[in-house]
Amino acid sequence: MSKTIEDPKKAVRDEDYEIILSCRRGDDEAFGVLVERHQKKMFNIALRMTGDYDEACEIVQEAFLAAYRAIRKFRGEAKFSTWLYGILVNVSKTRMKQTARHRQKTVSMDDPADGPGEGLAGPEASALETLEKQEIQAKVQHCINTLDEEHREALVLRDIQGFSYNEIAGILSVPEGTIKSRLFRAREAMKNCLKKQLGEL
Amino acid sequence: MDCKHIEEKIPAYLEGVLPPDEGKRVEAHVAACPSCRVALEHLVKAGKLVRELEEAEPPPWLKQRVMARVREERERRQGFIRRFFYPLHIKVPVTALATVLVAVFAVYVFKAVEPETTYLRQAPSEPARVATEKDIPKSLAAVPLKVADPEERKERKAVTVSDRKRESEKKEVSSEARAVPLKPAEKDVAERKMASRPEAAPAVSADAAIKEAPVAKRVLSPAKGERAALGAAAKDDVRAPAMAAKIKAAPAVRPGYAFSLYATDPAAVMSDVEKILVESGARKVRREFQDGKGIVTAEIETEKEKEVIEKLKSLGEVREKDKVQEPPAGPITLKIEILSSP
Repeated sequence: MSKTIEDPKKAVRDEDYEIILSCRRGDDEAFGVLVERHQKKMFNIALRMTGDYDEACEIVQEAFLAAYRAIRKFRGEAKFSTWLYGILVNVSKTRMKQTARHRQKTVSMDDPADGPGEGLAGPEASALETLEKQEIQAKVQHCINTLDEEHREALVLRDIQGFSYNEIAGILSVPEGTIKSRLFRAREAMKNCLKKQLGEL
Repeated sequence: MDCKHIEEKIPAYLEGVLPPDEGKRVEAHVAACPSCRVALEHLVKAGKLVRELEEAEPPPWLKQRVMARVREERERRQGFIRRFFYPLHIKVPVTALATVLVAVFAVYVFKAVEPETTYLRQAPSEPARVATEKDIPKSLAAVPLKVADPEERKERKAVTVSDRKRESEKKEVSSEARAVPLKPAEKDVAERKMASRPEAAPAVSADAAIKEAPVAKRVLSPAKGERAALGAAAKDDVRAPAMAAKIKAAPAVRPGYAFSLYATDPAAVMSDVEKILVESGARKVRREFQDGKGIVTAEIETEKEKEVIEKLKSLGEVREKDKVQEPPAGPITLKIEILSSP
């Protein structure tokens, strides 16, 4: 899952830049291109941050709308994707605070039935394998949900999305060193949680 | 270093960010300590599980939803702009502002053109002043007529005996006229008739007639003839007495030339203009200076007119404003407006 995205992203940056200029000229179709290009990553970040499919959809919509409103403020100092994911993380945080109680209810992910919509297995996998995989994944998600917000951000962006420390520092506006220490603590917490959840790793 | 410390260092060790010597120490400890080795293995496995989380596909409608909200946002923004400019509470001030602007512009245009219109108002009414002021009933005087300045009144006091006689005659007639006041429309017609008569134009004003008696007689004679003709035509007409009064007063109508002189310093040039006029034998040279514009009026002999103009040309650009075609011999009124050159 982990990917090195620095190189391909560099190419994407220029592409985004042209489209952003079109957006600023009031071309909504150009904004559609940006949505198309970034929605999957946005959705996955939101999904792992919240552990909730519907909530992730809402967050992605809100984040794109916020980006659309603020696109004139984007100075191009960082990559557009960095700026966009920063908005996404902020929207997630805000929404999660707002729906904290609601989230506590919906994220009971140790129940495997909670994570059916995540496209976890292909049709070729056997029912048992699928079930087992789904169960494990639900438990992993549950453990992610138990992390502190700061630790979760670091884990999702680094270990799930594979961003570089530099990029994460840009997205979260936090120094790299801080991100690293948060990440190590997050990993340690994940290990302990998974040990509890799965019995044996 | 105990196991607790080593366990804390394991994530950094796995990430490869520990300093080399510390990394070696952790490595050595893990090799020797089974519990720490298990901790490391668990961490690796946990990390693997996290990374193995499958990427989910966003729902196909997500983009459409986003774009629908983007469009909504755009419409809302445009709606705001529309609301800002068009609703009643904004439109009224906008209309009011537009009205005020139009009014200001109109005043500005009027101010800019005023010097011209003032002159146009003055020039033709001046000769008729004597008649209109004194002899025409108040009801008629409502028509915009310029009130004579005090200087002129003084001049009028110094009339000769013969003129007094004439004036008393005039008063008689005018009292008749007062008894049967002209309706404004009728007066209008009468005035137009007067204006259309070329003989009426060369008539000189009463005070000119006093000093230039022979000339005045000559000039007045056609007017008299005219009066006779008019009188015959409208013997029993109620308008006749008033008409006669007007014609009597008509010597005021006098040929006039008006020129505009454009000079860099109108105030300074004024005395030069005066000098030129005096040199050319002008009489009744009057000057006034107002709003950066000088006006010099004088009476000169028709023959001298060209000479004066030539001399004026040395002072600045001369533009003809108003000229009576084929003036009779004798004195004419010359009005020179001195303006600062554009």
